Amino acid sequence: MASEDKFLQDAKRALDAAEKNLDAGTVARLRAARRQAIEQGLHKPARVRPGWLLPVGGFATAGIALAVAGLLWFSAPNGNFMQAGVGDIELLTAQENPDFFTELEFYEWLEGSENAV
Amino acid sequence: MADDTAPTPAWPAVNHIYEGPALEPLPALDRFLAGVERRAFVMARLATGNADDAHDIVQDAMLTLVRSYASRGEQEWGPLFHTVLQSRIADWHRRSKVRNRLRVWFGKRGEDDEDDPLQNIADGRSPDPPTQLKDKEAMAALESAIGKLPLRQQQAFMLRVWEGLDVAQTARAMNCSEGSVKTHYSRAVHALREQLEDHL
Repeated sequence: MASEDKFLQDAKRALDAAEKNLDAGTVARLRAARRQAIEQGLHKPARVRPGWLLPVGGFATAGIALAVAGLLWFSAPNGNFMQAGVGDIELLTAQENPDFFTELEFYEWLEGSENAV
Repeated sequence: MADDTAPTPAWPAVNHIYEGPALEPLPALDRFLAGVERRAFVMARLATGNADDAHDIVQDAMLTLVRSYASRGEQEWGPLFHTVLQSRIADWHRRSKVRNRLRVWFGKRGEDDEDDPLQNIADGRSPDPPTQLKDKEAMAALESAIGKLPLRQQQAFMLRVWEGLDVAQTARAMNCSEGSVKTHYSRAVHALREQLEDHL
């Protein structure tokens, strides 16, 4: 056992020497890596939520999405949007044959041609 | 001997919404990492046989400690850092096995990308050239012998003998049972003694 202890002490001494005798380039590179690790560690990414929070988060997200959609649907951010909405309502409530509206562009062109003539 | 005499820089400016750990432990964290980085590098280099890979492993371990464990108590940093470091070394070994297998399949010879251990030993300041030479030879022989050990035996030996961790601490760092640590350690010591009795 005494010889094993001596062997282990000698091995430790050799490893200590290896640590002390690292070349300057290696030491500088380690120092730079340490500083980079600390700086990058300050900018850690957003914490990942635990798995059990995901359904809760999902419901919350869906609720928020519905609220935003409703807000957009019932709000009037600009006249054009409102105008398009009114136009759709007119389309849906019109008495004409739906085919009429698919041909509407043609009829408008035709009217323009007749006026030109 | 290379000295780390560069002045400590001012802390990096934080010019955005800060979301990291509290700033108070950062000087202590820097001191801790400065105290372990060289030994961690030697350990990783012995495990990988490659200085570049060893640098990557050490940097990754430091970053993980800062990002994930900086808010823990200072007394926990040592065991946590060793656990992360050994985990990264084990990951490297697994990837290395896959790479070597691919090399064999595609008929390439394994490239000798291992550093010559003697090249990484800087000249010490020992005034006695024979002693210096003996140290170099002893270290080279030790590196070679440890490098040949199976990974688990390497880890057990380095953590128990060099880091001075007890069996329980070593088991946590290696993510194995205390019985396994004892087995790996015993086999490592036996194998190394057989190879190194004449050198050490």
